Amino acid sequence: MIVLLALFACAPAPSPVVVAPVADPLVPMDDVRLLRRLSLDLRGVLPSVEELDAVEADGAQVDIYRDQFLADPRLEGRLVALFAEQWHTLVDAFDVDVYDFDLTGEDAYRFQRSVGEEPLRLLAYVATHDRPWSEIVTADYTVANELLAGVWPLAYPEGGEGWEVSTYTDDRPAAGVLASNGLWWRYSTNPFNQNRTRAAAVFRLLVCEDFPARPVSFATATEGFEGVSSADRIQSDPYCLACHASIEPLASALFGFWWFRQNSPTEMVTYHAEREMLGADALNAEPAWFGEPVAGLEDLGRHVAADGRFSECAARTMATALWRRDTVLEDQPRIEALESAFVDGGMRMPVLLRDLTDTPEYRAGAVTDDAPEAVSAREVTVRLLGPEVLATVVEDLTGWRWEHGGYDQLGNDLFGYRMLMNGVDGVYITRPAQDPTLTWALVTARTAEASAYIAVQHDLVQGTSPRLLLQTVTATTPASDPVFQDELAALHWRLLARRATADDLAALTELWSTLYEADGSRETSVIVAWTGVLAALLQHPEFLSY
Amino acid sequence: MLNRRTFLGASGLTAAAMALSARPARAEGLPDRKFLFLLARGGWDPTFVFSPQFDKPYVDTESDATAAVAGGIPFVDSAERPSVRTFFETYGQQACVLNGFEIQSITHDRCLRLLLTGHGSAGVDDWGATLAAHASTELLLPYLLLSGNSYTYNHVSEVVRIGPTGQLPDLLTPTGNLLQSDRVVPLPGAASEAQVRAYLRERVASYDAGAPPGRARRYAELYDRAIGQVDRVAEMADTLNFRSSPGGGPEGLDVWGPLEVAINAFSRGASRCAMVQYDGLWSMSWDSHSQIAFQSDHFEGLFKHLLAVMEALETTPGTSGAPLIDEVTVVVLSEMGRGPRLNTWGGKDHFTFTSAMLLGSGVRGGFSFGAADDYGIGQKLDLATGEVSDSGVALQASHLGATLLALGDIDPAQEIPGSDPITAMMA
Ligand code: HEC
Repeated sequence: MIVLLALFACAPAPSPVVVAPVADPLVPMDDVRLLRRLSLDLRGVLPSVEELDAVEADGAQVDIYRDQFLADPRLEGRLVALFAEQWHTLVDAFDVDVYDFDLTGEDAYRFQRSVGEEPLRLLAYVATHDRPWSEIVTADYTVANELLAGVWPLAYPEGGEGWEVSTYTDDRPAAGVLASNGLWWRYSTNPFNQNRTRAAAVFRLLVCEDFPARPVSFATATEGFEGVSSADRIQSDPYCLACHASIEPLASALFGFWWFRQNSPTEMVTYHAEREMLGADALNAEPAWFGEPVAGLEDLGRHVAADGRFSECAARTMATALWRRDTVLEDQPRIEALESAFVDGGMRMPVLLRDLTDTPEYRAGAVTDDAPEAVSAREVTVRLLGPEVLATVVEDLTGWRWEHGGYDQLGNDLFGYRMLMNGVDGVYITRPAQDPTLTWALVTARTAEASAYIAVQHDLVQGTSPRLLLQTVTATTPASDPVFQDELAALHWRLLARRATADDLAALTELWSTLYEADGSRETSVIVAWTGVLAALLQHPEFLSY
Repeated sequence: MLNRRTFLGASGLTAAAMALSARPARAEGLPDRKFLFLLARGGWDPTFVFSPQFDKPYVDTESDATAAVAGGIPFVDSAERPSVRTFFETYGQQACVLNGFEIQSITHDRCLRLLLTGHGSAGVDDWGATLAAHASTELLLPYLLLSGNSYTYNHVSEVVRIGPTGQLPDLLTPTGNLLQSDRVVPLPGAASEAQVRAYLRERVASYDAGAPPGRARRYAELYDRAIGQVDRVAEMADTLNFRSSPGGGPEGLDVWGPLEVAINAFSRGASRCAMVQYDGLWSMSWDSHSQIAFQSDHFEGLFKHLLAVMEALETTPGTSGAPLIDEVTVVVLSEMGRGPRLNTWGGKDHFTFTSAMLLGSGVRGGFSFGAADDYGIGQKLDLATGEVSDSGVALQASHLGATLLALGDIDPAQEIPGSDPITAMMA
């Protein structure tokens, strides 16, 4: 204890988040593997060899790199993927599809993903451009790409490329994601539902109130409501009102996005200001946010941002994303500490991300021997590469993305393998799983084999420089050459962020030799052997976890 | 390496302890009971088949249908649904219907979660995954998800997804080029793959040996298992005929392809559980907010499939040589019911009370339990006798789940404390 106090006395003032509840049972991972975790989470790529070397030489460098990663342009794309795990907008089908617009089948995937990404891009933009988080519900702009600009009423910057700040030209209210087509296309509604699904989504996503998770029993009717229709009970039965007194007024506030016809592209692309007042009639409830009347969507956005639960929900959402698990009651003190630092920092997302990556839950690589069962079951001390990160890592290493007819094969489930790799599709799978499965192993195997083939063709067959993975060996380097062992060691370090032991090298050499001899020891056998060795490393348990 | 069953928490233990308390325990040497889930997605209206309500003025019912009994089961009979009648006449003695149980939500996805797990929120495993995890032998495809949903937490690795359009077989080509890829990429070939897998298993073992407490061991254990499954699955791909999984069958049997794959997997001892979703006529979904009459077509289609399923189970041998019907329980479900009254569009809206049906192995055939009151609200039931009783239990999905677990020789008290099985439904 004395030692600890002394340490704190001379260290710079620690952030409240780090000193808050001491998570004793968690053992931090080593600095180099931590660097790898940070790099994968915040950039979607492996650390470079220079970065690995620097942190190996001086562990303190890891925090400096972390701060650099937080300013890396790739963070935006990573946040899109992390938000998608909870916002569930990257679905494979909407009520309308690519053929409803002036587009072709080749655009199908880009169309689906562009729509689903719109709200997520707005979130990620606010997060990475020094904007206060409240802007996600108050912004008078959205973030769109060329495809969306072509099908929605959007002013997209002249000469723009990819995702750019854009504005809707249909005079819709300034309410950030609450005024984004993408969100309401995902959470669509119908005449029976009357925006209630949408209200439930807003509650869950923005203030972390999950109404549908609570039980609703039609048997628990208040006396006198036997035989009264749902439509009437919802208005008057106190049991139903416990939820619906909050749901109906919010649903009522969303009628600018009401569509008279389902599956109608013209209905769905524009905002309908003149329908805003229909809600009060349809639901018999004036627009309000938990009892406070709101005048339109813009005002709703302001109320959401001013709700005390909004910033806490941001902290919880990001903790879920980076701890790779749902938050639990025991996390409450930590969440509150994260939230207050976030608010004090002007609701800037990098502050929250920085504090979160400081938490023991984030940095844990193991638990102690005597850790309570609940902690060792809960904490994801080893994380699995999901489809999205595997795709960006492989692309960074080899330049190849597994694509087919415009579809990203690790990013869809119509033809591809997102769900088979435990990825969140937002409908069938709504939280990322952290256990290997048969299909996860199959998808990672195919991805590894293809990446290995591409790298070896590039490096050894064509001998193109700069090399991708094999830096020094050639198609004629024998296994006995010291260069050969150095190559294996370098690959091990780069791909796994751990120095190879003699045992590791022996196992790789043996695999190489077995493959070489099995192929008949011909000239091509070197290619076959290296392809197998790379495929093996790309399926190594320490490559596929972080 | 740790043994999977000792490793994965109490599961191994409970399975053993269970054999003592569960009923009906499987006789020594018999294979584990298997479960085929057939899901009518969208919310069916039980008054079209399972729950005759013609005597209740408040309940809107079909005009050209009547209450009937066949095979001991009271049902709603209509000339529009010949397969329903044929089914109960032929298999009623192997069927047990449960009416009036409640799924306490109003939205499809939460209802489905409740139906399959007994819980409204994440962090639990569904019945299929739990049953699969307790299999007494190591299975290649423990819970084969051909379509429909699965919810998992601890038992993620039990579920094998075929993919919404049957993608799995495309991954099983160890030779030739990578399928579904723009770029032509030759794959290494089976022999080379086997070498790589041998290397991986050895590396996983070494990783496991040095793994600190926490998630690492679980990861190693499950990765090793998955690699072992990959080793075997390619060999079995042809026999299991995965390729037919998205396909239909003879006239009117839209989801026969996946059902056949499931039955095949059972007969080869590859799976303990499987799920197939049936979306009704023209795959239009059972969610009849308008034109309730489509329920009739959906039920006719469903029972056509059930007739074919029962015939296949009776004629296909299981691993013991006896017909599969001796070891498979078919679980026919929908995530919600529909309100008693028609709405202005001639449809019926979401309702928390619904019905389910169990068929085959372990099931007390020829019975229908549970009832609704004059307003469609389920009545309390005595779980042991199946009698409606004020001192009984308000039935929920968790009681049905407990029943399935008990049929699978798992102690429900360990998995869903507080929900007892409906022993009246068990043979
Ligand atoms: C625990 C909170 C809660 C209670 C209590 C509750 N509801 Fe709801 N209800 C919801 C939510 C949330 C939704 C919107 C869910 C969605 O569509 O995603 C909803 C939606 C509905 C809908 C629209 C369903 C559709 O077709 O989409 C009806 C009708 C409804 N509720 C009726 C009732 C009635 C009648 C009661 C009282 C017996 C009741 N609810 C009690 C939370 C509740």
